[in-house]
Amino acid sequence: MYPENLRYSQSHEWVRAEDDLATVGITDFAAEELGDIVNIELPEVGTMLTAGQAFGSIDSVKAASELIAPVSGEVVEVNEDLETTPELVNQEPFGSGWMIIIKMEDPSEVDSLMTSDEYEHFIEAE
Amino acid sequence: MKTPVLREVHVRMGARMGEFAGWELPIDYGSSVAEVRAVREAVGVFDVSHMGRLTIVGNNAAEGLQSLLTNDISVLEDGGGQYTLMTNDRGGVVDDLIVFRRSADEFQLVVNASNHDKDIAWLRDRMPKDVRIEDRTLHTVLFAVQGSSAKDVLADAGFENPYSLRRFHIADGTINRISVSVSRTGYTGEDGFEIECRKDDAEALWDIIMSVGSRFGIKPCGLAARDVLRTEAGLPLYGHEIDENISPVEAGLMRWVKLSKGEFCGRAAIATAAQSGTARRIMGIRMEGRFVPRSGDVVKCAEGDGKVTSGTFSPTLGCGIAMAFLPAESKIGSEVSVDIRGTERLGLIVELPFYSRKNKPLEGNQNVS
Repeated sequence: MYPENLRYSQSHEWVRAEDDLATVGITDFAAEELGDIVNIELPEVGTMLTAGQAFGSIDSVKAASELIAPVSGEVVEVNEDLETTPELVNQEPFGSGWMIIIKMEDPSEVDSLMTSDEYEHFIEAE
Repeated sequence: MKTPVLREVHVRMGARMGEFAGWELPIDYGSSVAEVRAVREAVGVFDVSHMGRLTIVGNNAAEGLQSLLTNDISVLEDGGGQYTLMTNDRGGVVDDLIVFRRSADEFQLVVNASNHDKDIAWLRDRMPKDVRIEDRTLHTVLFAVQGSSAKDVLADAGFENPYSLRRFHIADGTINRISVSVSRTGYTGEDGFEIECRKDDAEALWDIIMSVGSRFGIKPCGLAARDVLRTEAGLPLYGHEIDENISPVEAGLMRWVKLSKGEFCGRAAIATAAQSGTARRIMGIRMEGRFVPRSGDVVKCAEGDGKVTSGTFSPTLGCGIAMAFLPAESKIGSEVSVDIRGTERLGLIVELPFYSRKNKPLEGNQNVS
């Protein structure tokens, strides 16, 4: 049910790793839980992130939540479309709703994240 | 926790339920932004059965209410209603409510769910002893049909002439043989109606509204949309813009306080505050961009610090908006900054409401005063 080529964090971010580049977004489960997303604050290109650190925030109509970096490294690209159309995260959380690309210091960090099966079990248990 | 009579109907329609004022209520039905749009552009329906509905009966009911409420009920004719406040002797707000006069000795109050028990106790302690207070809340349901097409939905549903029902008036009638009381009131800034019926008829009435409403694009709407709509319309929410320690002067609600009507609970304190002025006042802040202020955020303005009481993203305006307590001498049009999670975001002080249907172009013909 969840894309198998992605890895998942306990805070509901997904990672698509290609060599040392990790594209990061939030899962459809998280987007649906949040409801309509109305504002997303993302870091600037060049920001250094450590796994587990907040890299931005997301406002739904109801509340604000933090976005947590699933891997460490430098932000090399930011999805600028989300500044004016944050609803893309509701519409295509695994596609045009991607948030940032991180150039990873240690690509093996991805292996510690959940697989799609593990994530599915994780949210069933939540 | 109390549950609405139609809980299963809401869940079947995709409602996400959440807790509010001791009730389990629909927060949204998938997209609160789409629900806000439906109300602003066509029509939406809210199950607001959690609102407290009280009947006050007795020869001394009018006199008793006149001594506890800030607005002047002596101007009401049978079937007329008004927004009013119940204040304590310090001039703080016990609750804000709508009062309808059904006859010379019978009145109906619609009060906040969060204050339901407190209000009943407050009234029992202070009303003349021969006045009866009946609580209809758990015996009936209340649906708010809101938006410019609401009147057409009621007409098509068979309600007797909704077009002639004046704003803040209430009338009894039928919808498909179901006995209803309908008032032209709401909490969205749009034209609209609130319809009460016996709880046994709740599902049948809801189904009629939904099926007739489908021609007009009706959407079921939850509390999240309701909060956005009332904030856009600059309407206070108990616990945010008003509470027992906030005076109507500070909240900007003096239009509904008639100091000249004679003695009432809180009058002296309110008169003093009105005369000497207050340090803070509720004002509107329109953010630059999509940043969303939240209740409790600190506001910095030239005249000093203030605090956000309600904040949200306005889908209608396309930016963040807030109601806030600001130093009373702050000026409309001045720039302020709101500390949103540690970052200062710019906004402008603006006149409330943020949105008014009177300023909306291409508004259809309306029979409201």
